[in-house]
Amino acid sequence: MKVLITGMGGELGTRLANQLADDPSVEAVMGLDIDPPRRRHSAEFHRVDPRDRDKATALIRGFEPTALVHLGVYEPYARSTPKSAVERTAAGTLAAVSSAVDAGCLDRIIVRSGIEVYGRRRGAPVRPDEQVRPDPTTPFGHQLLQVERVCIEGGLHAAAPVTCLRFAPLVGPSFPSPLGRYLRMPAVPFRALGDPPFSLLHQNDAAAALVAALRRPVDGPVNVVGAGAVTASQAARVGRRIPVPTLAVGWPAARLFSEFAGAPVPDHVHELLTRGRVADGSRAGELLGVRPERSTPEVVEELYAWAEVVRVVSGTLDEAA
Amino acid sequence: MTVIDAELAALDPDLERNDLPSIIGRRLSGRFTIDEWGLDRDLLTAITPFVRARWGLRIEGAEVLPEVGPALLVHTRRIGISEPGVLAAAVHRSTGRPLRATGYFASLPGPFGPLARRLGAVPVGSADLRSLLRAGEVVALPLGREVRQPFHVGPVPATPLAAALVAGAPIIPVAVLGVELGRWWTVRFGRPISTRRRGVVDPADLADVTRQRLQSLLTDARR
Repeated sequence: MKVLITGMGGELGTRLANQLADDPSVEAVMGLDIDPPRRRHSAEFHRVDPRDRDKATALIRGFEPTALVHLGVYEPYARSTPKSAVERTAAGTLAAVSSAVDAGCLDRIIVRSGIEVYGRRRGAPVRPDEQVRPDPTTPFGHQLLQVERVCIEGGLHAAAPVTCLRFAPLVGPSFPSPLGRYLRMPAVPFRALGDPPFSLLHQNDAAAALVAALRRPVDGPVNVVGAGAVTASQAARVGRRIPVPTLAVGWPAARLFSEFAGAPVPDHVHELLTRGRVADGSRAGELLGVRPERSTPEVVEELYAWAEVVRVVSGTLDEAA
Repeated sequence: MTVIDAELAALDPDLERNDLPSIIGRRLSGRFTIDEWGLDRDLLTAITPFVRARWGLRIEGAEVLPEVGPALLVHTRRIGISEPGVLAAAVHRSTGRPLRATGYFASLPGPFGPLARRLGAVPVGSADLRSLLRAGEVVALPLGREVRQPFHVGPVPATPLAAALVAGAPIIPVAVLGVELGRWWTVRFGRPISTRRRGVVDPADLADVTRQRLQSLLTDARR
């Protein structure tokens, strides 16, 4: 198996490349991204702007991948601004899928999608399963659905199964995500009347799901969601932050405050905070053979357990020892 | 007094302490459980004494309720304001399990809808019903209001029963009888209708059987 990983510079991509390095069924791994990988790896990596279609196409055709793991889905305010996230995702998806299909050896496509595709329109199912028709209500949700559609079309051309892994929001100590930054602010605004629950996914579980899907491709969507749920005020209390009750009219001010505090809130995170975001991930075990090991409350605990900056006064280390 | 390790309590919810100081402690530290539909178990425990003071319940045939696994309770209602609460109290008292009451409560405006969700209310919808039953929850499905003829059972919708059929959840007919502002209520659980039969079962037939059983429950109650 020759695996092409787009978006390998992200946490998930680097983690996946390292896990595949020890897999005897994997002949070669090639990664593409605009950012360099986050840690040491043994895969072939090329730093390419997803909008540079010619360069990406030449590299992919030369590599002749049999499996495409498309992680080049850029979340607004994670590693990119909302505008560049849309551009990079759209251009990168089209270039990666079309070149991988044209290379002629493709037999499986794995896509990083998200439960944001279901949207939270009034009257929409609270905990949608894979049978529910996607109906995104935020730009990131639309972006994910578009990526899924392009990949499904590519899969039809290549007669290859397309596994759309719809991940719950990923947060973690070393994972760049707007929700993670928001929850780690000193004061966390939450919806006063309601404070809806949301589910999260740990990065290790997301990587495990990607590896499982690569070994046992499923033709269709699979929700991958950590068990249980938390609310924003609950998470704030776990992290010893100040929960700030916010009414509808206070949200613009809360978003402005967050932006100044270094945690801008994109629309899909605002929707999560005001309308909740959970999905039924009970079929992941049956379809992929793996289910997330960490629950949502455990993901929150780990988010706050990340070592803070510890200021050590010179000379105190010896005394402590 | 035994001190129970928090990690042990996380493994077995029965070991979790439910006295007021423990509940307040969990509330302040944020380490209480809220599930995906918004149910807050500590809040449910905290209001149980008030529910007991408000309603006096006569529960009949509660042994049919499963201790674990899904069940769809199809229940009658007259006006429909107290019935979900009365039935939830009866199920909680008999099995210790929370009831997921489908209906308009979860969609009430202002703080009422979210509060109802904290106590177990869920919105009506086939996708959510499917998901709830797959997760092994006890779900209540109210029938149409019968204000003038409280001992008459109206039509039973077939679509929600199809969800029970897919999940293999038993359908339990329940008669909830009482006066809206009164204290005493009777909750009569009927014989469960198994959905684990071999072969294809038509949801419309299931709806007919459920209606007949509910009608006989009400007729018996009238005598």
